[in-house]
Amino acid sequence: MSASLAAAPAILGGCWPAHLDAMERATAARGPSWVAELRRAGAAAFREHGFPSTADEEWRYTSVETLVKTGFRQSLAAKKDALVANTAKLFTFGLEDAPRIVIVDGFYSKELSKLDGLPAGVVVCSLAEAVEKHRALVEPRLGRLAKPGATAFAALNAALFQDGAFVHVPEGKVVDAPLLVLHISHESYLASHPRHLFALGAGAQLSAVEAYASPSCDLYFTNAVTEADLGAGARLSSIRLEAESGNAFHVANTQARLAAGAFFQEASAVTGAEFFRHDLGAFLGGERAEAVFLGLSLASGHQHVDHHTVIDHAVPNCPSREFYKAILNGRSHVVFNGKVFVRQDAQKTDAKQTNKNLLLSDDARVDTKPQLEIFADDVKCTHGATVGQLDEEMVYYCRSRGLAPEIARGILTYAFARDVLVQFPVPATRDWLDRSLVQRLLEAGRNA
Amino acid sequence: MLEIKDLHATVGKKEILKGLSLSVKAGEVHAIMGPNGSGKSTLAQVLAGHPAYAVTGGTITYMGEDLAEKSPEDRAKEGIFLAFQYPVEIPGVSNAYFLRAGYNEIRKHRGEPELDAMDFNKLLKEKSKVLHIDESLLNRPVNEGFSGGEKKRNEIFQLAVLEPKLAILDETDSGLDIDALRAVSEGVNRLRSKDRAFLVVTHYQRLLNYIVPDFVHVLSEGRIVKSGGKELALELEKRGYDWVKAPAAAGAAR
Ligand SMILES: Nc1ncnc2c1ncn2[C@@H]1O[C@H](COP(=O)(O)OP(=O)(O)OP(=O)(O)O)[C@@H](O)[C@H]1O
Ligand SMILES: [Mg+2]
Repeated sequence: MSASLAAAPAILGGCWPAHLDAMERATAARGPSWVAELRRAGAAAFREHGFPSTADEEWRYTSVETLVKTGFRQSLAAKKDALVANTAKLFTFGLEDAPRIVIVDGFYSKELSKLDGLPAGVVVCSLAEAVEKHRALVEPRLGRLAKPGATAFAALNAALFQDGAFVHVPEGKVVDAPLLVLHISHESYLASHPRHLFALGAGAQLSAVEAYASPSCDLYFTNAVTEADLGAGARLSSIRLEAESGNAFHVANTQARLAAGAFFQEASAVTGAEFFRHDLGAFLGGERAEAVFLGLSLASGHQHVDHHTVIDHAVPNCPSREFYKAILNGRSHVVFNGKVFVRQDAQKTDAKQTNKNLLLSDDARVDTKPQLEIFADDVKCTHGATVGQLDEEMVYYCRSRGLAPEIARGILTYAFARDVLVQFPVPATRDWLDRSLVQRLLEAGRNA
Repeated sequence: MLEIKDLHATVGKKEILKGLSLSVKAGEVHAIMGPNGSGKSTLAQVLAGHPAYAVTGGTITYMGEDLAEKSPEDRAKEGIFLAFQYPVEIPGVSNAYFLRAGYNEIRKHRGEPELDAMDFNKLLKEKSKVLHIDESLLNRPVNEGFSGGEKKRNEIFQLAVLEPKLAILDETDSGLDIDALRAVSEGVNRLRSKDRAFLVVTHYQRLLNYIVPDFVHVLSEGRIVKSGGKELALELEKRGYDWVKAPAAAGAAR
């Protein structure tokens, strides 16, 4: 049943009701009732609200029209393919020997994953397995951080997800080696809905790279959801890599919940995907919890890159920091929307938000918007956004030291990116990014 | 080495240099003094090739060649160095990387082999010791977050590394503490040689106690209105600029 559906030709236009029906048929007989409940909630939310239009304030600069019009197939069973196996080996992002969990087109791949060598007590497995074996850890979290009704895409993911990574680091455990959570999109015109869940006990520490990649330049749709629950004093530092096909649609929703003293950092590097939208939220629910969001996007051609962030300061004494940079070429369009809530009780909040955009082309466009909603009175909240070209005084200064203008521009473009790149966690992947971007950045600036 | 004749230069539509003439030979140190806004930095930037400044009359000859048409990078490669009055901050580029890029361009131009990062770092370390530059500054982004004095010192450090033929110092002394002033002056004096000339723009006679000039010029309203030896600086310190300004309007300089 599932195989024939997976191979069915694309239904153009409104493919989504059919996907929901197919999923309901496929899963009616299996899975625990609490997961079925989540799926029902997602399906109901989607059927009720559908996709957002640009009249919706949260989607004002990001039209999903093309995405909605494209007919995607749904995969209901994992496929094996030698090509994937071979290319998966290449997607290491500087983490050759690190433990890795690999998801292909929304399904866990046991063959490509490497999960030995993790400290005792640490669980890294597929979400489907965790639902069966670790209910006590999964049930209180799954769909509770990234709520099924949050957006149309979160709703679709809740209704349609097949698998993803589950990571549990118990209280006090520190995982030294970074963990690679890799999603590979492989089949064209396929929609996949990977779903990851991180649960860190009190004082636990983990660094991770959550990567989305593809060996092809196909058109497909990845609709990911990640939930991260951090106990008191836990630390999760991650790099999120968007390295998918230049024709891909990528929508993601990441929600973190932090107890007192917890630290959550997400540094996002976007180089791939034709259409990218990420909703990233952190709920600071305990005092001295800290969130750091970093971003570096390289957009060219007709790429659309949208970061929507929400930091929710619910209690006193929490710092948060956001630093997003984008370099635009061609007719690309970059959107940044940074919402910061400071609730009435959240005195002594220290929130800082910076968004800087470098335009290397006259046809590129940036829409950037800070949104501070402050209900406490003793707080420090700053925000700043810039959109500009390379600084000609800097170019001249370089020239006065002997550098040709095109070299100066290349170096300055690279420098613009490095400024945020050096703050990324996971040194091995940060260095890999630096190495893999340097040439591209030098050239982007040179031709500006 | 440098021959400036009846130089006129504008920025925007405003004429700033209005018939300036100056002759500098290899091995000489010339001090340029003058009131605020008289055109000292303009002269420095025109010599370095800032694209915002346009030469509208007169000639600048450097090493026997017309300078006006040359790009800033070609001037740098041919040995002109300007220590900026307001050094530019470049976030994201380390001082060491920045300097090596420029250094190697200049070496290439001279037909000398480029230095790799390791050899270049050795060179930087030596030079930083001589100028009492904190080594941590080498790996920090160019001038970013540097104190005013650190920026000025960093300019002289670049000068020491790039070893130009004609070094122009635009108010390098302002913002330096007493020890830094001494260190910078010693650095400059060590670089004095029969093949190298200096143009030192300053407001203060004090610097000229350390870097003793061969000539002192007063720039006023875009022209050199008086020239003399090092005693002129002392006299200016005592009497101000008014007495030199007046006859200038009537007569020519030098
Ligand atoms: N970009 C510009 N546009 C318009 N006027 C300018 C510009 N740059 C400089 N000027 C003007 O040119 C004049 C000379 O400036 P310059 O910087 O050369 O003076 P200076 O002698 O170096 O003064 P200081 O001693 O204060 O450093 C000043 O009146 C200044 O305002
Ligand atoms: Mg000046």
